[in-house]
Amino acid sequence: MKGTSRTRSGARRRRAAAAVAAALALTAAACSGKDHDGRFLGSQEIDVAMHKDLPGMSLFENYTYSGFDNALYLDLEKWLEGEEGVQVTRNADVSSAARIAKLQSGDADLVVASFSITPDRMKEVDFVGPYLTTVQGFLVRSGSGIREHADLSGKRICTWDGTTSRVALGELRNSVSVGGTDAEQCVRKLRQGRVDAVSTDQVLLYGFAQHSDDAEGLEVVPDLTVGAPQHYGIGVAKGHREDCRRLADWLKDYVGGREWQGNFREALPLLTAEQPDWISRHKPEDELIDAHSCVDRPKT
Amino acid sequence: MSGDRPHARDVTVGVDGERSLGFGYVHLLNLSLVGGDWREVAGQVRRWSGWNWPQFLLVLGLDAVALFIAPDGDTGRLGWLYAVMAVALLLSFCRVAGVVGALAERAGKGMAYLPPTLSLGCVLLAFLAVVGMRYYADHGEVDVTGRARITAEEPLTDGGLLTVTVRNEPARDRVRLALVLADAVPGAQSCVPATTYDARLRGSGARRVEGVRSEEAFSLPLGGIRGDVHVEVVLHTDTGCRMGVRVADAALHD
Repeated sequence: MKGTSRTRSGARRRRAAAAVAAALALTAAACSGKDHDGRFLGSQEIDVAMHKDLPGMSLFENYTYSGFDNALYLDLEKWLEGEEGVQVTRNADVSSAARIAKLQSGDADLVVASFSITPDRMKEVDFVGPYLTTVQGFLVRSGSGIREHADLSGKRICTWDGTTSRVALGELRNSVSVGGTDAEQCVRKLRQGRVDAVSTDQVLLYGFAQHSDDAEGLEVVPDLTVGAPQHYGIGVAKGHREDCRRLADWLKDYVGGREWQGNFREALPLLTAEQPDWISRHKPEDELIDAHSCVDRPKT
Repeated sequence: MSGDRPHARDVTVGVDGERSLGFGYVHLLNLSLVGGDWREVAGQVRRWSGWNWPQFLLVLGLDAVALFIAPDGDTGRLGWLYAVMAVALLLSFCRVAGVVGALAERAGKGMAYLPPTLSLGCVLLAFLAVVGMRYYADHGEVDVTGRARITAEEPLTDGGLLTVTVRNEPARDRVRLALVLADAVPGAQSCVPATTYDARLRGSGARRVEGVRSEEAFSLPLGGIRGDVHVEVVLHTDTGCRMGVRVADAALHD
């Protein structure tokens, strides 16, 4: 009898222990489980608007996408589909001038398109970022003799619509700003000798320089810059702050991780070769991401 | 005496004919019309003893003095003093109106000390208000935001200098400033998060602060400077950033 009683008591203890363990496991699962309903930014399907004509950043050529923005998109897609449970599609035909309108009209849920964060734009759309910082430089034909600001006096410089580049060019008083519809048109004008330089963000210029044939002889003028640093962010329509902040947390992990450096090195080999300190020049700090992400104006 | 006279409601006045004159107790009727029951009014007036007035006038005078010497600027800081003044005036008027006397009468001899005690309290409160206002006028914070002037280099870029001038009147020991930094070209740059500044009093390298961010307040000791106080500011921002600066808050304090 005594032995039977001890056995029953042991069995009860084991069952109780199992029940407690099961309860703990359930509690832990409930606590650690992500509270998402297969929707992000209020949608089950996320459209990401991108450029397709910027070598080094976002280029669609020979049925293949390449560039740093493209690499960011692929990592973002993996996270959105894997962690948030939404379907992601790419809409790679957005022009620089149409980026805000795409978000506001709902044609795009996210914009990953070398999209500079500015206080004016922050009033219209939210940003997550920056994921890259660059400065405005100059792309010229090899042997142009343009090396410093004084050399730009009287020169025709091409920028295109919907970018921040033209504003900064206003600082160069004696140069002539020539408009283009897009980056490709400006570079074509440069190759044809119709303009003396193309001015936009250096990462884009290095993309064009590395994409051009040697015979075309385009080069980025080292250390010739104008205007303030440009911080590229992911554009998000306003009204989804919680999802926006989750995306910002993901971006901080991405920028702080190895993917960012690997993707940058792979997308912009000419830049990394010419700028040994490319990480400190182009990689944003967490504080900068916090200051610009999901807010109506930059935080201090 | 009053029992001999008819009450206002008992008076009947008949005046016939154009331009006829009427005499009688019409004044009592008028009193009743304007002030309600004249007997109630008369009863209240009887309680407005002459001894109730001096304390009220004294409190009124002290409150007037306190208002006169009240400093300009942050009224929120002086709110409690205005409340003290109001309470003193209200309670002292209660004595004038007979409310306190009536309460004391109703409570019996045990509460006979209430009217003089209350009056003393009211006078002390009003005096406290005067002392408080005097203290704030001499040592309180003086908001000079609207009087602060900025002179700056144009455009204001990295390493740019600007001077904030504030007149130290009335004289205080310290100046507190908070500057708002803004992008001068908000359509083409976002430089505020990466921008800080150092500030120091002109002619005093020791009194300085470093790495101040937009809208962050700092305080510098004036060390006896009277008249114009010049705070020199050096801006630190990214190369190519063009910034604007304005004063968000400027105050003199001890």
